[in-house]
Amino acid sequence: MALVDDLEHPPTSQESARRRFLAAVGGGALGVGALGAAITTLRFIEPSVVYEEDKRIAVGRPEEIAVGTVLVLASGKVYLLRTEAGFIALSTVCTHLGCIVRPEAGSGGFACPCHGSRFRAEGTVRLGPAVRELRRHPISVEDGLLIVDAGAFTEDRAAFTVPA
Amino acid sequence: MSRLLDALTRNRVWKSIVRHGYPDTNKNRTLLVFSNFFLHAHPVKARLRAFAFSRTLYLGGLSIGCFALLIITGTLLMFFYRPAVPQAYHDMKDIEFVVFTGMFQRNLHRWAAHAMVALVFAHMALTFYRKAYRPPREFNWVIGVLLFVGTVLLSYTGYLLPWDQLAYWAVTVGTNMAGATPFLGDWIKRLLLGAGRIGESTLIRFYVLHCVVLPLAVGFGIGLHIWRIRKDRGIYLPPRPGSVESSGDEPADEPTAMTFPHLLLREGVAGVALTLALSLGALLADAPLEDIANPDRTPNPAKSPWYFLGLQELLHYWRPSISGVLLPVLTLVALAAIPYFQINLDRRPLWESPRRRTLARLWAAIALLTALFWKSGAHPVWAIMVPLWGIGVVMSLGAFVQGKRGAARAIRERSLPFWIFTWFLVIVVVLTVVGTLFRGPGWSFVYPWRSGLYL
Amino acid sequence: MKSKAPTAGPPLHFTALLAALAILSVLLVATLALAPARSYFTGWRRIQRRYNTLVARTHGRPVTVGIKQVWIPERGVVDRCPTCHLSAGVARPIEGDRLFAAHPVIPHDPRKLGCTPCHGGEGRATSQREAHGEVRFRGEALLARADVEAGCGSCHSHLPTPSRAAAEQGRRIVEEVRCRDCHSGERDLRSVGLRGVPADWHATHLGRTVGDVSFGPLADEEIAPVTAWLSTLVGAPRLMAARMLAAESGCRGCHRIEGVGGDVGPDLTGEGRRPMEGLDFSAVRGPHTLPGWLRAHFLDPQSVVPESAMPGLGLSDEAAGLLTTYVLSLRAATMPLEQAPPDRVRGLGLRQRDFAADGESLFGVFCVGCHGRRGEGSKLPTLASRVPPIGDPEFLAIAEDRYLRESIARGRPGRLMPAFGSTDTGLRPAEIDALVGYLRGFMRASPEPEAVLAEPVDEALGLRLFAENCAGCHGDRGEGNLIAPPLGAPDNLTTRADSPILGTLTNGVNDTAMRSFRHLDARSLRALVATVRALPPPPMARTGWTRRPGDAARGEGLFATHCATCHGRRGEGGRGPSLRNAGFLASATDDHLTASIVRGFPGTEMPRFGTGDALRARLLPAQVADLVAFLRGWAPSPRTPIHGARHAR
Ligand code: HEM
Ligand code: FES
Repeated sequence: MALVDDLEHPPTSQESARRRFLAAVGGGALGVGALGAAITTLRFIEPSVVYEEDKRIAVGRPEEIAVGTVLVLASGKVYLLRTEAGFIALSTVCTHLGCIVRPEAGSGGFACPCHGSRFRAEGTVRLGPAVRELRRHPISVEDGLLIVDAGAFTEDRAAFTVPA
Repeated sequence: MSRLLDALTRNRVWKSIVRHGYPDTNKNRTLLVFSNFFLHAHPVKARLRAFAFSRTLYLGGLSIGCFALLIITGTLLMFFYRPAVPQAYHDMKDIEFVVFTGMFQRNLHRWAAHAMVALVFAHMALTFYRKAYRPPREFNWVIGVLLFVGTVLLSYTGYLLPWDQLAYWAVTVGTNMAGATPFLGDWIKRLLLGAGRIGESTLIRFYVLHCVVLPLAVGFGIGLHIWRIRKDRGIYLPPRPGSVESSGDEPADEPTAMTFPHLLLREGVAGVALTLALSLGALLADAPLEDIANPDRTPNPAKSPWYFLGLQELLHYWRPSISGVLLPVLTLVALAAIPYFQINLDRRPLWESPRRRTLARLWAAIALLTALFWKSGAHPVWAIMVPLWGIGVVMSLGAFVQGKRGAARAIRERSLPFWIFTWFLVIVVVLTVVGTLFRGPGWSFVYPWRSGLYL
Repeated sequence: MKSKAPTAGPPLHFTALLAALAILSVLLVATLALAPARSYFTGWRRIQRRYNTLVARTHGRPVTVGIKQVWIPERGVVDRCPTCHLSAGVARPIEGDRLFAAHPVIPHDPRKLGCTPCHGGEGRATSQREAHGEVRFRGEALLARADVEAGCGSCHSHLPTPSRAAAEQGRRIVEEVRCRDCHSGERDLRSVGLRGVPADWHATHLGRTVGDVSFGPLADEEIAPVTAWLSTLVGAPRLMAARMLAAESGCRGCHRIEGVGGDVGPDLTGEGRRPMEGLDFSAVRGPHTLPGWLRAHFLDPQSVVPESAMPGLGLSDEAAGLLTTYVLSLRAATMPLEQAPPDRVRGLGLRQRDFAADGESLFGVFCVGCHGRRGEGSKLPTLASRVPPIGDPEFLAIAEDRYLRESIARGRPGRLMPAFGSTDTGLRPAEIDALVGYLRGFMRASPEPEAVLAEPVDEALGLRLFAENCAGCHGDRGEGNLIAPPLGAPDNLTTRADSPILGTLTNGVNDTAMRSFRHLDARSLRALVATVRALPPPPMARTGWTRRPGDAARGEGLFATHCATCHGRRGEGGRGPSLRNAGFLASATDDHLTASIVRGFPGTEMPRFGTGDALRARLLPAQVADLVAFLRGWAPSPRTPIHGARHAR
């Protein structure tokens, strides 16, 4: 049997409408499938759980930490200050691109080794390129112990005071 | 001697592998190129002008050479490397300290990677200046841009694998840059990191990208790139004086030569020279390996690999969503779009157009850009403004200089795209040099001859 | 092969290119051959060959040439040191050879422990320079021979450290009573300290005889020193000497070490392994290594780190070397407790102290760095005011135990004095008591009354001393007022005879502002007693006198004029300590405040307001009472400004 090419035997208009429809259905289905596959793959790659250790640090009894004290926690990633107003747990992760800032001799604030941002002692920006102040970790009191959660951040700008 | 050769080649086994006779006839030479899997990307005969080293500097070919070296050395390194924390770092030390020629392989891999980034970029620049991106090669140019991105990504993902301080902090800065993308930032970052911060899950992701996904993608892309060159009848050659420019179909009198031996010989020389240069480099200079990654302490200064230092320098001026996302993405899009704008296809001499009006517009644009780069960043961006003025002056000279030859003519006949692209190149070089040599602790400006190098 | 270049057209340079290819290829092969050559011709291969030649002479067994390593997975140790140091567990030692000689006898088997845990260095490396850490980033530096015992600190992080005096006394006793007659060979005492000296060793020894030698009982007071000495016998004499020196240098007053100590300076746990990155060597003479830096820093902290608050300890070269060994031994050991040595288990698991807990030792561990060996105070480089001399007898007379205890426990916010009362990082209540007891020892003993009263009377001296010491409270003529009773009144029973007056002078009167004057010598006391006896009768009677509060409103004005310059306008502190702070106000009674204001704090800038001096006006007793009333009126809530980062490095 000779091969029959559709161009040599033009289909009826009904037939070609049918073909168009079938092509659309098939193509559409494959398209949807491909899109679904793409989304599913992305979702596959996206982590659903993250393996991170509990980073809550029990600092000690709050009443034993004097006003004016600065405690360095988590090997320097958290600075806990007790100010007049209360406790502040500063994260030393630079808000620019995530390097670890270091205490700056002289100013009492912090300097970033990566692109030179400078922060004041309580975390506000003194010099760019960073625009946001140093982030803060939530503080709480449990069983009379002051707990800093170095794995989380808070937007709360008020210093923490021990509830009476 | 020739008997031995005969004995070796006149048997069934040999014939079954190599399906042609000894290449001392034109027929056999034709068959050699034709029927060899590795050579069939070549035409049997090629135009002589396309051979010339001066035309392409073989930059594309040398990039492929680097890629091949990288595949070989990389595969060898994979025998010893485990993408786990902290084994990755210890494995690097073992490769350096005890694996036989491990240090050499590691160095070769590292230097070839650096070389490839530089070569691919240079190749792109040359292709632009040769106007080789014009139809029908537009899409191959786009593929080229994608290959450039692929090359940089390969280098970048490889950078994390040693799990040392250099790696850790370069990648911290890099992923946070990606994280600054508007809307999608956090998601992209999570996708890259596989966790909230860089850790073992990031390492394994980068490992898969570096050793499987990206090499396959770039390898495939190179295949496509080459295949299209063949389909476009070889690389672009400017019309010979007297003949009309046509795409591909060269006039019958275009001199040609057999691929075997002439083109292959040239490729051989280039390949051996490249391997020689990189091997010497690998013997003389050791790839850096610093202390094991310490998430608690950023080294000061923390610098990315050199090809990112231009970008890191930009980060000093604008916020990450601009410096790290908007500018690079815009640049890449602009590069990819080059062959789709008529002005880039015509490349008409700038000074064909009315002189006064052009001058006025030119300097208005320069003034505007100067204002932009002066004010918008945290500091004035000299590395962009000074080249801008310099090029503006040289361009403007074209409006005044006379003379039919030499520099005067060259300046007069250059097109606007030429000048813009040149400006872009100068900026890239200047930013990279400043970031590499002139930045010290806290990203402060230093003079390398006074304070030494911070690398 | 013949070239068939087309006759027309440009030249193809076939032969030239072929020549280029040939030359380049030869060069490439030569270059590539260098890589394996570099990996093959190594120092260690030569060393192993040399070993094999040497042992061949004595018909010993040669080693198979190759990289040797000690691998202890559970400790993450991969040490390739035996590749060159063949005698370390791989091959028979060759005596007399520097490299192949036997390892000195140590309580550990290198094959079980590895090399780097003790010696430092980069265990994975196989070239000398890299293994010994002489290449930047290629690993940690090797501990020098002199500091090698610091390596013990990698695991033995809590070796109990007695006071040096006790240990030295113990050593002498052990020599005298000849313990070594029995304790030699098998029963050697060399490392008894490692397992911990049994508390009942003396009791269990009683009645033991070896041959005709019997163990005679030691005097009771000899047992403790001998125990102290025995506990230092851990096989690392230099390390123990270093630890004992550190324990009397007050490091932990400012630095936290393994979780215990103040937070004024940086935490020193792991300092012995600190990365070199960031260390400034510009002022360091001698080797640019961590030990070199530490030694220079000990000798003169500010020359190395100009902004350092660390006091210069006035160390000899030798002492600086010992303290360097000590710091190098702080290696931030990490290991599961079940693998840890006994001292670490006791320290971390059972939370036993690694320092002696008697007052004197505690004073050495925590206080002497700032307050001086005898509590004489000091001048810290970054502080404007002096560290107070808390050993001053007059200060101790004024300060009650409660006040001392509270000050130690709560610290002095705004000053460098940390709060040591934190239950995890600081001192335990019993230890604070021991410290207070020790401080009390700085007070002079009460003189014998007979001896004092036998002294001749010096009237002029008596009048001067009365003006200086008594008039501030009792009034110029002892007439009495708000804060102190009249002295010469006929109904004052105390002042009618010499001995009660002397008793009051030397002991003070409990729960009043009348604190002892024991620091005065016998002649002065005698003169004072006489002066008091001779006081004219005052207008007021003793009976019915009570202490009355002053007027806080007037006190406020006085505070602004007299106190604010040092203590701050709102008492928040400045040159002087903050007064408006809960801890201070809770521990300082009105009497304490009164006595402090009147008598001042000798050795600090706090003047004797009771008499005034060239710079300070005198405050009259009523004014003192007003001030005390004002201070008392402060809400006992701490209000001090935020203090800059204390840990700037
Ligand atoms: C992995 C990276 C790349 C490789 C391995 C590669 C390889 C090559 C090779 C072997 C050629 C033949 C001519 C020559 O050797 O110069 C070529 C031509 C070409 N490349 Fe690439 N290339 C890469 C990246 C790029 C990039 C980044 C661009 C531009 C954005 C680009 C655009 C082109 C174009 C348009 C041609 C045709 C040029 C002509 O006809 O003269 N390529 N490439
Ligand atoms: S990461 Fe801190 S300034 Fe860029």
